[in-house]
Amino acid sequence: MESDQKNVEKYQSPLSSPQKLIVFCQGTILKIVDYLIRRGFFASDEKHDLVQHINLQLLEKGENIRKNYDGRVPLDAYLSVVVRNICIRYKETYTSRSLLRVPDHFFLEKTVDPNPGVFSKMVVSEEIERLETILSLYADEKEKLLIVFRLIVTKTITPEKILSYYGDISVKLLEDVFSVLSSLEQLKRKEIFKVLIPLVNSKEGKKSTPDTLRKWFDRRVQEIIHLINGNPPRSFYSKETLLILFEYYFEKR
Amino acid sequence: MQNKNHLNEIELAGFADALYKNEVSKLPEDLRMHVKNCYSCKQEVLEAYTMLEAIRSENQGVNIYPGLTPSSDFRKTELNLRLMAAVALIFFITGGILLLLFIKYPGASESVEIKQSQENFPSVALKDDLKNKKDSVVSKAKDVLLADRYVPSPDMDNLAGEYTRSEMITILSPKAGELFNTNDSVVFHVNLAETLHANFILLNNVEHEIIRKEMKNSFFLKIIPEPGLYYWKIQTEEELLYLGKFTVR
Repeated sequence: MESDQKNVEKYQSPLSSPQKLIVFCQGTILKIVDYLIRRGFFASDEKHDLVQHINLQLLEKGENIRKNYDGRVPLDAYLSVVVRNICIRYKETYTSRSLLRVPDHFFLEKTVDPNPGVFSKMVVSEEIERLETILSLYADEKEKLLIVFRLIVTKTITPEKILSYYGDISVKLLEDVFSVLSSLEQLKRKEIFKVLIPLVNSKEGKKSTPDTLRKWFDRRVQEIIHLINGNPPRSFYSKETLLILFEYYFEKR
Repeated sequence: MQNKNHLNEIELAGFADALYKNEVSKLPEDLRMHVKNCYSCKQEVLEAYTMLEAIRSENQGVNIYPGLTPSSDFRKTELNLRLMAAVALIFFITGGILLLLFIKYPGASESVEIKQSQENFPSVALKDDLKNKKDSVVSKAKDVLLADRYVPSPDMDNLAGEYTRSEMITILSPKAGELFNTNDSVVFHVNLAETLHANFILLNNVEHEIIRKEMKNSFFLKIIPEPGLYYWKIQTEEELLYLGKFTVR
């Protein structure tokens, strides 16, 4: 995110005065407000007041926004964060109404649907996309997480997948891991961590126990559940349904 | 980005923008490591990204018209749709020119007719053929018109809003004939008698089935449909219990 003079020049006109900035923002404001209403964060009868409040705030903060904006990011991205923060503060200060929130989907039933309909496929596809986005936030931990999820969900893994993350490990270690994994159908969840821990320790140069790995994984699962459910909530995933989503995810990968 | 501090507004926006462009790996290492280890920043980044995606996405509604791919693939198919629209426009203009020529110079077709008849070809067939081609061109162009999505189905329209066995079901929403705006959520809320097992079916105006779900007791479904006229049915294996309609403008 280097400072980008091009962005500053591109947005020179809206940044020249708070009034012009407000005019430039109107589309963004309406889209954000509509989106938050759809998500159940605000009632639709609050829309007018909320838009007015955002405009007032932007008039007050216009000077700071113009000063802070250095062109490192596109202006619409920056404004969306600013406007969202104004909305959240408005919610905390002026409204405490609890609204009925309807989940955006409830197609992730207790099992994977072998013949999903068009609508169901679309919902799953969007959920997988969101899951992929969340996983990308875990940077170098993403593949580590995926290996554990893959073993829990699909019960299979190829040596290539192990090697792509754990890289330079001894043939002996790989053989040991796969001799245990070949009997994976009988392995319980707890034993998966026992199988993986030598690989983790070899890569990370640590002497962790299977229990440490399990606790780390459980923490990450809880985080992913909170992240995918969103704030305000957009869905109601549990541990069970998250694993079903991963089943779909690995089918696509 | 320091490890101790959370992301500021610019950094949040930058991260969300990088996620949107699939360029997270280009972000500074310390920024990515902070987000990886900080749940609060992860959540903020994800919400900022979700918001940015909603703003930048031209079509937020669920696309439930047949032949179109999921909204997540919308950006990929946008170019194809534009090409289709351009081809349809060319068809429409060509059809229009042919129609104008036909109206202005009716003799032209007659002369063809005479010439053809001299060669012992069936002249009526030739005229019909030309007319059919024109009709086909016009109808192809018409297929893509938004207005077509609002043409009522005569069969369905007569029955809309009628209950057949009202004691078995209570329709709480949507109201018969209700009008929604684009991107509005349409919530179907129906209470059914405990013993009743019925199906919920959503159709578009050309009676193409879009959604079919099993209904039990209290049924709840939320969708964000594309603009158009829709019909929805509650039916058991034996009979139709209710048929409703709504419009998304």
